Amino acid sequence: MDLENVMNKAKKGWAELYSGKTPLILIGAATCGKSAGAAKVKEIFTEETKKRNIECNIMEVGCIGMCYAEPLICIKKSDDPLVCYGNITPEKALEIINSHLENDNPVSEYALGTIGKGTLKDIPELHETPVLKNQVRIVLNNCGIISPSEISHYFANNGYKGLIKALQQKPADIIEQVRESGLRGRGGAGFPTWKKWQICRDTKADKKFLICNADEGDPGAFMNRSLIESDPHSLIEGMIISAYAIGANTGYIYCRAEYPLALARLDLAIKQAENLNLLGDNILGSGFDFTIKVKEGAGAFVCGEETALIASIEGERGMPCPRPPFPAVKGLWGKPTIINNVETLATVSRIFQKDAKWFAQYGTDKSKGTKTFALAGEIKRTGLIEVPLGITLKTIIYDIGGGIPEDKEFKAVQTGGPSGGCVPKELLDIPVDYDSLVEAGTIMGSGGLVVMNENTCMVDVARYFIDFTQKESCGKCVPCRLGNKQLFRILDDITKGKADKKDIDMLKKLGQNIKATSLCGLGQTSPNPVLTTIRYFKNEYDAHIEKKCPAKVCKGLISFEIDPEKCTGCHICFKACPTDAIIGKPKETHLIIQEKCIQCGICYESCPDKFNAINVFSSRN
Amino acid sequence: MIISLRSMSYQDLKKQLSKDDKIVLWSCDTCVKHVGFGGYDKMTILENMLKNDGYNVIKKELIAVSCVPDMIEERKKNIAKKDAFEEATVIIPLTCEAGWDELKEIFPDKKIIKVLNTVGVGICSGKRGTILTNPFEDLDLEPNPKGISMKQTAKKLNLYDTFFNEDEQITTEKKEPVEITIDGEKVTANKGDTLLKACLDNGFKVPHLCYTKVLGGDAVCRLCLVKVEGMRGLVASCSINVEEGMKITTDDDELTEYRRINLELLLASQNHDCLFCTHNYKCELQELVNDLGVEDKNFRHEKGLKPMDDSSMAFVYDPNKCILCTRCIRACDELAGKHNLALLHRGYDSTISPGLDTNMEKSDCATCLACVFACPTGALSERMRKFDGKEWKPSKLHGYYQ
Amino acid sequence: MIGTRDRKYAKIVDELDKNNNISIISCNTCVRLSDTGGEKRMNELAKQLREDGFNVVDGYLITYPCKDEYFENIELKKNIDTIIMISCASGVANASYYYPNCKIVSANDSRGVVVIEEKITENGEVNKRKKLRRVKV
Repeated sequence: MDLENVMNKAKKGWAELYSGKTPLILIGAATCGKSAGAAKVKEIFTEETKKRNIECNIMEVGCIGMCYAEPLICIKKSDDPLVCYGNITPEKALEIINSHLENDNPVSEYALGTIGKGTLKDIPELHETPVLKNQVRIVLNNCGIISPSEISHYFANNGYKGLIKALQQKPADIIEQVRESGLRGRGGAGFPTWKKWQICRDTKADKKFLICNADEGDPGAFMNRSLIESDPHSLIEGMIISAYAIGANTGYIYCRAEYPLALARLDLAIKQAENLNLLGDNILGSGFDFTIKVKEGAGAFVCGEETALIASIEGERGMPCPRPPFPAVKGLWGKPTIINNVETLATVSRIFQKDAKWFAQYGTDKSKGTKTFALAGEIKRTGLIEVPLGITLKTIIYDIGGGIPEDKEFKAVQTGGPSGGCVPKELLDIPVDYDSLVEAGTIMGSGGLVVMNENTCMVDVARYFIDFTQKESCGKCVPCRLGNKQLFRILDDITKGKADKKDIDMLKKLGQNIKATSLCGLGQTSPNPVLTTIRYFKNEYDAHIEKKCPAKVCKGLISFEIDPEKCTGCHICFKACPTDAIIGKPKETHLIIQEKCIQCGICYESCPDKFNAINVFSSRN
Repeated sequence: MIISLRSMSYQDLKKQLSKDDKIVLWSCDTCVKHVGFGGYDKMTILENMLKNDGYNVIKKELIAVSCVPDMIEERKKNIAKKDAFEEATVIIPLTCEAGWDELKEIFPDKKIIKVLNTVGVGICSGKRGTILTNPFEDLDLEPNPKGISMKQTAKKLNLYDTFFNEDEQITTEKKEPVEITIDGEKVTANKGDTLLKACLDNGFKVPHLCYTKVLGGDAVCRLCLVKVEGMRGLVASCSINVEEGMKITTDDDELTEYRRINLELLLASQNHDCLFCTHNYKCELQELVNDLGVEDKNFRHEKGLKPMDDSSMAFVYDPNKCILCTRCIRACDELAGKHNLALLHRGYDSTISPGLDTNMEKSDCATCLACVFACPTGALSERMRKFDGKEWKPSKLHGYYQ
Repeated sequence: MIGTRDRKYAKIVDELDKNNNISIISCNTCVRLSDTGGEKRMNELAKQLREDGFNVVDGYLITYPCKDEYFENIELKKNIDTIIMISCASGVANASYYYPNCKIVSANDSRGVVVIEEKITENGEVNKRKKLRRVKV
């Protein structure tokens, strides 16, 4: 059966599936959905519909991006648009089955919105809700809509059309189109993708390699995982186009072993593509051969650095090497190698499914197109979003993310993971693009956005990130191995009130040294969290030197006291205290013995809200 | 020491070579080096002479010792080296007869030219020069505890007591000279050389710890960082090649400051108790620290020491003095060919580990000491011991030559 | 490598006197690899000599007795009048240069320049092959 037939069949099947004749139930079953209880929800729908003899299709899909509302289901029935429900509990599931599936009466109370043609009473169109209104979904277009295990679903949504188009062109023309699209590397550094490809294309060698970097290691980042779990074929299509452009016949996907679901879905997708000659020898009769191998990373953050990643694939210790020579000239096994991020490659397939100009209309002059971000931390609507570059942080956090929970005050947003920096409130209006973020002292990174509120201590945050990098440093070069450890020790001392003013200068001096003299990107960016927090939150550092933690986080500085006016002697804190630091008889006012207190905060947590008798102080009295 | 002398004039050597020959120079890093007829420098002299005369020297191979055939076999099989050995038609060993003999057996299809004659065993002395104490049975010389000088030996046995061309002006004309500017001064360098070598050759003192002439650099210590006009950031001069017209700054306030901080980090992170160290005054780290006037005063220290590995009968590894320059790892790979050392753990906990995380004794160590002599600090030191008292108690004996 | 053999204990003792104050110096290179010297043999020899009533004062393990610099790290006690050298002939010769007033007793017989090759056969046996060119002693 030739591919055209398969594609036509896929299109028909898709139309049939989404016709609503048989009710269709989509269950968000990426890792985020599964950890929120999607399996249980699926079980209820399967059993209940069987019990009640409701004919329906239940399908596991990927992540639509609204992780705050997981477990998430969508129902398509009759001519109504797709209705998306969030935060499904077993009770809600039953209610939805009763009302929507059995009586054609969508439960507007639980519905987040509708997708597709038509409107429903009391349910907004999802794309008009603030969370999606400001997004432009190009890479994430299929996520949460198609089944990641069905190649036909991908076909039905323009899948592999870009590849067919690309294979009819010369590699040079493909690189030219990528140049027109203005696509820059989505892994963080933002190097123009076409330029990298061109260098590799121009290097003469008997063999070339393409590597997809799926070693997503930033704390709080999950863009690549979601994308692979939701739409693996878009990555594979992008890889084939890219390999064709640079002349590589072997591709590797370097994916973390901590992403078992993504790995399973990738394996399946590769097999499906191989069966249809989208991978293998003489792809679609074009004379071009390409195979993809999956390499599981053993969980070292530094292996996201391209030379360390290459070393890891070669079976060596994952340690970076000095560049130049750049991998595009001399990479895997000494051959020219292109390493692109998952998102970059997935974007390539979209660019070829439509065209370069269409992609370039989004974004700013220097940063074109869209970028996915993982919203995490103290924000109402956590999740995976895709926005045109140039959008402000304010829009992302307040419109898409819905602001800070419990109406607390926003303090900072960390971009770019441990390599990035913290952006304060004053800079929320800067556009999110490669250059503006660098100006603010941080980086775009792979797309992690961690939002912090007033209860976050910025010194503690810096300490956390440095602790991460000093543990993840490969140990090869002196400034990164030893410098980050010293940064950590100084920060640790600051959070314990054991530092003085000149330690802050030392942090700056040492941080600058690590940035300037480290061997690879990990070290060159690792002090960013420290340097940006000193730049924007110097007052907090000063307060710590004076043995105060304004956010009341650092255990070495804060203290707890019982308000005698409010304490009713309920004795709960007395029982909870792990060090017997609280004295007092039931029904009498209690007291904390400061010498015994370890500032664990358990008494504070345990004191009933109605009394709220325990006060936290930002310093020891 | 095994004493060998040159048996062949340069003219005679050339007569044995053709311009089509692909020549590998081979030398031990032990006896012949100390005796003065081998080692890396001598190979370089011969290489330059041959190259200037239009011969095709394709490889210089330095090996810790050639009297262990396993080590020679490893070279032949080594993935990175075997192509050159397959290609070679001639091997010129700067080794004693034992090495020459082994090479003949292991490379039966190559022409192995014997340029050194071994005459017996003797002493390498700073004051007395190299002397022969016990000549071979079949030679017309008698044993002499006071030693027979090289000159006498050579005269008696009709050999040469110096290395090729050593007395003459050695022509080391640069084959492909490139002009570069270092600190405002125009100098020439050899194309293909690293920037650090070009700086050192031209008398610019760029600090470095992970680089040696023989092993090259690994861009690890970050002390040889320089500024190159037109290149982003600082560049590790040990791992970048010179290019025509490069403009380099090797020394300014900023670079000095960075070097000082990185040196201080090294000092603060280990236990560099120089007074008790076998390498006091012979330590490259100590020398750099003194040169730049670095004091260990700003940083916080780790309490507690890592355990030493003194299981080997030949040397001791003290991780508390190890700066992880990886010179020992590269020496074990390159000179010994044992590939016995590697980094273990990561980040601050990184340490050098033999075999599969075992100790030196249980590992595949050949005790050739290549790693020990490559170490810039007292981390790897020869096992030198004094035993005394009723209990025959061992104590550390300060050793180290070179 | 320089090949040596253990000299018979009786022969060593023949050259010693119970009044001698003895230091033992051992090479830690060739003799260690040929199992005729090094730390182990030095300690065994010292123990046996002491048991037999000889006054072994101390012992030194040095890497290359055939290189001058190593002797300079040894600070011999003033009363030492006898040195037992566990090394090849060149080490013995060097000791006699450094300690002209001491009696130097060699604990090894030097043989010549050798190559040692260990080949493990299919049966797992270790075949040691030695090639030797003899030196005069």
